[in-house]
Amino acid sequence: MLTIKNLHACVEGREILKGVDLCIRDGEVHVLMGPNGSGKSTLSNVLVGNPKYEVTEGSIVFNGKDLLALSPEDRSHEGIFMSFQAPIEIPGVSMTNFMRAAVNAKRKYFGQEPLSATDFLRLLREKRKLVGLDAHFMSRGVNEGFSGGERKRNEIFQMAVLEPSFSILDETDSGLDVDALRIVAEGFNQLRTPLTSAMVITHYQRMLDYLKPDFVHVLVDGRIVKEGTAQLGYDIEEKGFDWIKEEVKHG
Amino acid sequence: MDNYLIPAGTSSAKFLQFSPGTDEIHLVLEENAELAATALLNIPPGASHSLRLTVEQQAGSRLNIVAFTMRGGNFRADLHIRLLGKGAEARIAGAVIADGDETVEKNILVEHAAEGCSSDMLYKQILTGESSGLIEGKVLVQPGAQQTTSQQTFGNLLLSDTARVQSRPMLEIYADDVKCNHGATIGKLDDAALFYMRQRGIPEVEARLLLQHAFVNDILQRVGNEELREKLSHLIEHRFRGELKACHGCSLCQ
Ligand SMILES: Nc1ncnc2c1ncn2[C@@H]1O[C@H](COP(=O)(O)OP(=O)(O)OP(=O)(O)O)[C@@H](O)[C@H]1O
Ligand SMILES: [Mg+2]
Repeated sequence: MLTIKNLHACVEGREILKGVDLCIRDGEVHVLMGPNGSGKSTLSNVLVGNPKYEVTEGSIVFNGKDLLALSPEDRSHEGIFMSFQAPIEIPGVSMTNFMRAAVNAKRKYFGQEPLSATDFLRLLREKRKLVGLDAHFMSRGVNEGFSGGERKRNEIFQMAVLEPSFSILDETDSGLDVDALRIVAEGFNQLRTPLTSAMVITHYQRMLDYLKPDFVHVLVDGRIVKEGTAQLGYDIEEKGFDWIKEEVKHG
Repeated sequence: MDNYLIPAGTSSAKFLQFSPGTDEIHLVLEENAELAATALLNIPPGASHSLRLTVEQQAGSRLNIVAFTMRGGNFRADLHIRLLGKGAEARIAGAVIADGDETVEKNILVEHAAEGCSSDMLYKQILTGESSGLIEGKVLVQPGAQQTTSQQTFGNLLLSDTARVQSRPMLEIYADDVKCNHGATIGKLDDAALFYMRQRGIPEVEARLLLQHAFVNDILQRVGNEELREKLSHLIEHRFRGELKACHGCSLCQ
């Protein structure tokens, strides 16, 4: 599904990613962990084509396509979704209008007619249920006045509507209360199929419990320095990152 | 000169569409009268329009003006609103969308001449090309106009380096018990919002359009009549898509 090779990227002239290699196959869930500022969100943003981040070296192939050659909107249509670490507000653009524009843009990309009003509203209703998002959020501006937790829930709602094949969850669990986390994680698990994959960024063990990832990668200072199974995630929860940094130092 | 009188205790709604040329309007709102007026200007590039509007408001009267300058050619407006009776309220709002070499200039004076009156100005401009939008809005609080409240909010989106903007809220106060707020912003479209939309698959042009529409949404919401609001919303969308032709009092919005 996704192959990243020797990826280097800069933000505002400073190199953040210093040679990332990562391969994610169909149906796999990979967890990415790492200290604050190590470059996890940078990697996510590079994958979705945020123009603030400049790729200086390396390649990303997504389902056989050169991802770096695609616009952010085409990456989205091709099936990449990112749940933002800090989703922003867009006052004045209602959730309904926003989702309609998104859904119909994707349909257009695949040569399909726009959804009828009834089908569209049915789709929203069905997906809202999945993540327990109340109807009144749909008439509000995108994330306008949403609490931190509501924003995260809204991200997973949007993911459910767009049905991406590859999802990036950037600390979607932070800011969610215990119940909301369960609902969101269960919603995510329901959306999983043998053909969908995900890269999940988290600092917490609870997410590992729910998602049962296939692999855990540790990013330190712009490089993946250690890889393992879910057990690696539990070790980090217990011991922190210092022992990994020590290992790296001593080769 | 057109004179309108809204009799005491009645309420009415007006829709005005202006043509090139000059209009002079004098409005009187008697005690507890209410007027909701929506105005539209949509004239060809190069055409000119000038408007002089004077309003007198008696005690307890309420005025709600919402003006849309979709295509303003060369437009100049002078508004003078006098709050003459206790507890009168004036809400005036305008959205200006200009491109090419259009020039829009608005001079607004709201005069608080009695106590307990309130006024609220909300003006937004979206300027691109080599257009210019100048808005000067002044609240004048006369001696004795105690317990005045006023709000002035001016927002501007500058979408090209060559467009020119000036928006100045001004205050002149001769009473001591007043609450007056004002603010003006000049900015570009929010990059983070644009990217968020593109990540969800909304093409960049469409995302820009949604953000521009959202920028004037609060003005649109001041139009109380839902059917008219919907029509204006569509006009605005057409305008942003560059599909709106100038019209001279056509039936589109009647
Ligand atoms: N848009 C930006 N502008 C300036 N600096 C940035 C930007 N994005 C990231 N950086 C910098 O790049 C480095 C890596 O940031 P990044 O957000 O990728 O870290 P992270 O691993 O996601 O951390 P956290 O766990 O705190 O979310 C940090 O030093 C950060 O300040
Ligand atoms: Mg981060």
